[in-house]
Amino acid sequence: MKTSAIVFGLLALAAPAFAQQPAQDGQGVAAQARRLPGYLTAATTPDAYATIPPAPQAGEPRNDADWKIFRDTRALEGSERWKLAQNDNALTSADLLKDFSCSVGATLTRENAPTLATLISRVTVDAGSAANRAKDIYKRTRPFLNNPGNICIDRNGGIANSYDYPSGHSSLGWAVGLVLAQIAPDRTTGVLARARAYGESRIVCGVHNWSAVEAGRTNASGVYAALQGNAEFKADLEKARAEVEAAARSGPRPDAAACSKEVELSKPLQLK
Amino acid sequence: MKAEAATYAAMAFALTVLVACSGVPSAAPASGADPVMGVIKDPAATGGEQLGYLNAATTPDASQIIPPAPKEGEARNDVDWSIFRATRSFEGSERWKLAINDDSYKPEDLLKDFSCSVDAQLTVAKAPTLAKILARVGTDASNAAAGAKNLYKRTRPFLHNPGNICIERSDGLVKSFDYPSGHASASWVEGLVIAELAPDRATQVLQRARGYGESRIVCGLHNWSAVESGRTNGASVFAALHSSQAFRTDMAKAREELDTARKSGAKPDAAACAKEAELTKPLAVK
Repeated sequence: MKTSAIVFGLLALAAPAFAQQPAQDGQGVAAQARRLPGYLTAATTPDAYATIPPAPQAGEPRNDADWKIFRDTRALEGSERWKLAQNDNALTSADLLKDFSCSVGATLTRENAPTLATLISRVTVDAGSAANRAKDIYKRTRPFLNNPGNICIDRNGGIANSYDYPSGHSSLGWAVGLVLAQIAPDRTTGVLARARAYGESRIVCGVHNWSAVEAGRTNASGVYAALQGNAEFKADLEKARAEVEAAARSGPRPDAAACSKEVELSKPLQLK
Repeated sequence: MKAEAATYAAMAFALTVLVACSGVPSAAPASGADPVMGVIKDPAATGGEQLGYLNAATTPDASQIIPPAPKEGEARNDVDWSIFRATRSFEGSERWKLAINDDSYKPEDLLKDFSCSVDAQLTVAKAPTLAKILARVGTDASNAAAGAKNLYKRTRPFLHNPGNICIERSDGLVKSFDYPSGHASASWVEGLVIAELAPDRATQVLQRARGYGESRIVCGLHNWSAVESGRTNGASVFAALHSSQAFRTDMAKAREELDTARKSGAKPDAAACAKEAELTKPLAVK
């Protein structure tokens, strides 16, 4: 049952053209039939169960750290970082294009970067597919189910029905960051700082453990490597590159004040 | 052991250059040659292969990308030291021996280490371009890590906890920094390179690459967090490499070498490969 929810949730991420609201983990069952496929096949999708470390178990130091970080980060409630975490809960291609606009240095939309939007949706599916088996084997539950404290989104919105490890959000954010770093190589550090922060937003929000966000990056980098061996992905990437270059050349610049605020909020998450 | 010392000498050198370059990650060569900031020399022209593909402008800066290094008193530091102490029980085991084996990162050793995972016997003779790529991307991974190593100056777990390590304790090890792990950074980007060339073996290749990084934890040279961050750093470098024309050209050649080796070459020993697959399962630590 839970597995189905996860699978459907991930599939829902693939249908940005139909998603009227920001999707959340565990939502979007109806979108299943209308999804875009990923680029990878079962044979070329890396299996995160083999590539990431095991999920921490209760009683282990990694579990203690995860739960302590959850409890400590509850202090961020209401802060600007908390608001960024709420913003980062959205994961349609339109949202991701907006979220990475500052770091890429171009105002990106589905209108000026349609191929990139499609590419992001499809890569999101691949990142989720790679994570599924590990999620289902470890069946790790989310930190807010094991600790007191508020989370940044509605806890009754379906989030409790899906698994923690590895984080699908962190996976897709890191995968999209790697793709955009390839497209805009002069912006690599800024783009990947934003991608890391996008994953860390799940920790701040309280819906994922620290370890799940770390493992999401490992999972995503495997997916990204496998994508480099896919001709369709590479063709789309070149089209997307031209879109981004055109947007950077002729489109409006992202708001400088908003971007410097984002840079500040995206600095590595300091913990005790 | 020799390789280890050489690396840390190279890293120390890279750090010096880094400081000289005002905090910008440098494309410092891993040898003692004078670095030219922002310029990638053609290794064919310099006669060396320790130069990376990236330059100062295209090298990602791990200090802005990876999470901060844990500090004493923090939960993540407790995890690191607890794992160091727990993994001392591996001493003398087969996993320990793999960690000793994985201390080397010479291209010929890396090709051997990844042979099982791609199901082909790889050697420098059969895959010279791939060997060259593995050497050069390792340098890029070190350069990308240098800013963070120097920022955090985190020292190695064996300096804070009792227990043996799997190689000789050297001055180079004591004086070089833990976070992020250069070995884990390099092996992850090398695994990603090979996964790109053999996507149907990506799972096995990346399992081996993770195992290679985890060997630093088993050996006792690196903290768990430093190995995790090494993978994040390695992935960043891998993305940046795709904008290097020299890298892409070499990858096309390496793909042919690998395809030929996979089609017509000898297969690695099945029993040894089964053992390696068992030893590189995700490291379970209590």
